[in-house]
Order: sequence, then structure tokens, then C-alpha cells
Amino acid sequence: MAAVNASCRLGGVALAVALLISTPKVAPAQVGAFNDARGTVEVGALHEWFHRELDPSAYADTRWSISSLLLTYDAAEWFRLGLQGGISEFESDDFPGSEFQRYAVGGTISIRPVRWGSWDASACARYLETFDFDDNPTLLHKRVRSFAVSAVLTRSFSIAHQPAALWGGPIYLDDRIETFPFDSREALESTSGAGWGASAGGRMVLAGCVAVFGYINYVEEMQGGIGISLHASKGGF
Amino acid sequence: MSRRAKASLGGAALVIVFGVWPAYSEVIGPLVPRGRFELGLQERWVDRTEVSDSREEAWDQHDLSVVARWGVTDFATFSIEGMTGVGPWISDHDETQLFYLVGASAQASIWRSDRVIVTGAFHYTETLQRYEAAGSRTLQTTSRALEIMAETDARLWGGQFTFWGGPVSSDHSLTYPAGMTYQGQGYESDLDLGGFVGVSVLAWDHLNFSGHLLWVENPQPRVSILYRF
Repeated sequence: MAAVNASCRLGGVALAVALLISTPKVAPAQVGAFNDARGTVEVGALHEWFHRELDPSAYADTRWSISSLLLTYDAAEWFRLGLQGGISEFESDDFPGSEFQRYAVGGTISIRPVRWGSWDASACARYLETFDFDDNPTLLHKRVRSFAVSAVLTRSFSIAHQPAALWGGPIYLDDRIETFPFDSREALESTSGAGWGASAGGRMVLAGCVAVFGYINYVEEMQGGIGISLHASKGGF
Repeated sequence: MSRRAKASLGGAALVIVFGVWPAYSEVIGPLVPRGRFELGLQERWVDRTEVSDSREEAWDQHDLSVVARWGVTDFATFSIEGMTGVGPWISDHDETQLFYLVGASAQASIWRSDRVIVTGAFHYTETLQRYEAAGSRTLQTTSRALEIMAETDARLWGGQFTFWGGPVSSDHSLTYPAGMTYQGQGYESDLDLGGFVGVSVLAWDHLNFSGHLLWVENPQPRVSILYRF
């Protein structure tokens, strides 16, 4: 844990230094949440991990992860839509004997009201709902609803002539978990309670057609995600 | 290799990739122009006969989903659909407590002339719903469709009309998973071959009203309204 904390502090310092000393360039595709070109489409995969302290809960803290497809569209230079979801199967060490089929559906709305040079300010709201159906006799179904709102400051620049961006700002998270033990009608509810924290992340567009990105949120505990997507700056190939 | 050939190859690859990879949607419609993006709602009716061993069940359902369609290239369109919360109406079933729908499709042009475009597409949609009923409280459905479609445009009454239709192989299955007091039961559709015809109208270059009739065993309409960016 001490090593993780030290690594995080070092990473945070490196992030701050990178933001301050990097040379700003007018990049064809920029920004953690937004691209310069209206009509830009990205479709890819996102893997997220969550870590909250739930109440009530059988565990001191609860961790889970979600993989999903992500499709985003820059409807305007200041407005972006995102759709997220998918179907997957997985097993969990926390629930031995269970085999889950996951249904995930969600979406995001982002706005960018302010731009000045290579900096901009944006806000994003996201809702993601997953239902894990336990196909084994354990019948331990779970439903997770996550809601997040964030406001970030983004700096765009170039690395090896590839557009890149770093962002950071506050975030508000609310995760609600329902468990349906033994296929029950009524759910047992757990929640961490809504909480404020901080969010930071980065993104690069490689060769004008592949975007890689990652982010870290800190609300009670560290959480985050990484993803990769096809990037179509003019909306198509 | 010409750009058109590369794009057709890429579009065909898209259909193949999504054909073998569990991915989603039953959004049947004309190709979306390259770089355009559509977002809206679709209402779908399903009316099939499902069989399991010696048992037969008439399945009558309609559900609502959010649909997004993207013109990836001049020759390929990718669509996704999803919904949660707004449960479907299903005959002889209690009100839905929870509902999830996830689907997608890949569609690519395989031949075109000045007036007609012929495309191939694969669609996949899964749903899960939970009821308060006794017995099995969960129901899962799966829809898969492979279609060949011919489409043509016409400018009528100030609007851009597209007429389309073709043959389809569409199978539909449903599963009642085992519960605490329920054994579990699966059903598959009896007949899968049929056809579809549809028409869409693009008004003011942005509002896309679309409707089509899928006929596999029984007529099953779909209507949608999408905003084209």
C-alpha cells in the first residue's frame, strides 16, 4: 500500500510537470473529452475498475470491474454524446461457484463551454447500469448503477507529433449496488453514498486513427479505466 | 487496389468480424452516408412461434430501444442499440421489474449501380427481463438475423425517400433460466426464413422517419425516428 501511494504521488508530480512544460500545439485532435473536428466518431473498448466502501456489505471494501464497448460522437465542437454497453461472461474470485452473464447499458453527455488556446474547460455526466445474472445454482444476481459528474481542465499538446491531452478536475460519484440472493424478488441494497473526489486522465491519438486513453478517479479509494478506440476525425474512413 | 475495392473489402470484413463476435442490434435500414451519425428510438414487434421438444409457445412482444447508426465508410454502416428500465410488453407475462436490451449490427455494400445499392448485414440482439412472478423470474431472449437488402432513393414531395427490402434469415430464441423452484426451459423459433420491406423519409436533411415490416412466420413491424447529425 505504501509503495502504491508513493507511485501515485510520483505519477501525480510527473503529470503536473508534463502539463506545465509541454509545448502547446494546435493539434488536429485534442482534449481528453473533445476533439477539434465536429463529427469525430470513436468506437472502441473500455475497461474500468471500481473500488468503494459499501454499506451494508459483507466486505470491508468492494471492488469490481466492467468491460464494455464505447461509442462517442462529437455532435458539435462543444457537445459530445457517448453510448456504452455490452454483453460479457465472467467469474469472480469473490463469489466462487458463480458464473455471471453481464448486461451493461449506459451513456454520457459532455459539454465544453470554454476554450482558450490549448486549454479548455469541460463537464461530463455519465450513467452506467449493469446487471450480472448468475447462471449457477448460487443465483447471486447483482445490479450496479453508477452515476458520475465531473468538471475538468484540459491541456492539449503533441508528443512525437501525435496529438495528446491531459486533464484533471473534481468528480462526484454515486454507486448503488443491489444483490438478489437466491433469485429473490426483493434486492438487498448497498451504497457507498455519493462522494466528491478528483479525476485525472490522458489521451493520445496515434497515426490519426487510434486513440488510447486512461483515467484515475479518487473517491474514497482509487478507481480508473483504460481504453482503446478507432478514431475517425471526419466521421468516417 | 482501388479505394472502392478497399472499402468494400473493409466493409465485408466488418460484417464477418461482427458476424462471429458476439455483438449486437436488430436495426435494419439503408446505409448511412459516410461520416453521418444517427441517434433515436426504435419500437420493435416480435411475433414468433417458439418450440422446445414437444412444447410450443406463441411469443408476442414489443420493446423500445435507443438506436445509434454510424456511416463508417461510403460502403459500411455500424449500428448499436440499447435500453434499460422501460420494460417490454409481452403477452401472458407480468409487468417487467427490470429490463436490459443490447444489440448491434454491421452492414456493408456488396454491389451498387447508379440507382440501386445491395447490402449484406448481420444483426444480433439480446434482452434480459426480470418479473415478480413465481417460478422462473428471469427471461432471456436472443435475436439473430442475416439479410440481403436492395435499396433505392427517390426525391418526392420535397423529402428524400428510400425504399428497401430483401430476404432475411432471422432466428429468435428465449430461455427461462433455472430458478430456486424452476427447472429451466429453452425455446427456439420454428421457421426462420422470410423477407422485409421498408421505407424511410429524411426530412430537412436531419429527421429520419423509418418503418419496415419484417415477415418471418408473422408480420412484425418496426418503426423508428432518428436524428441525423
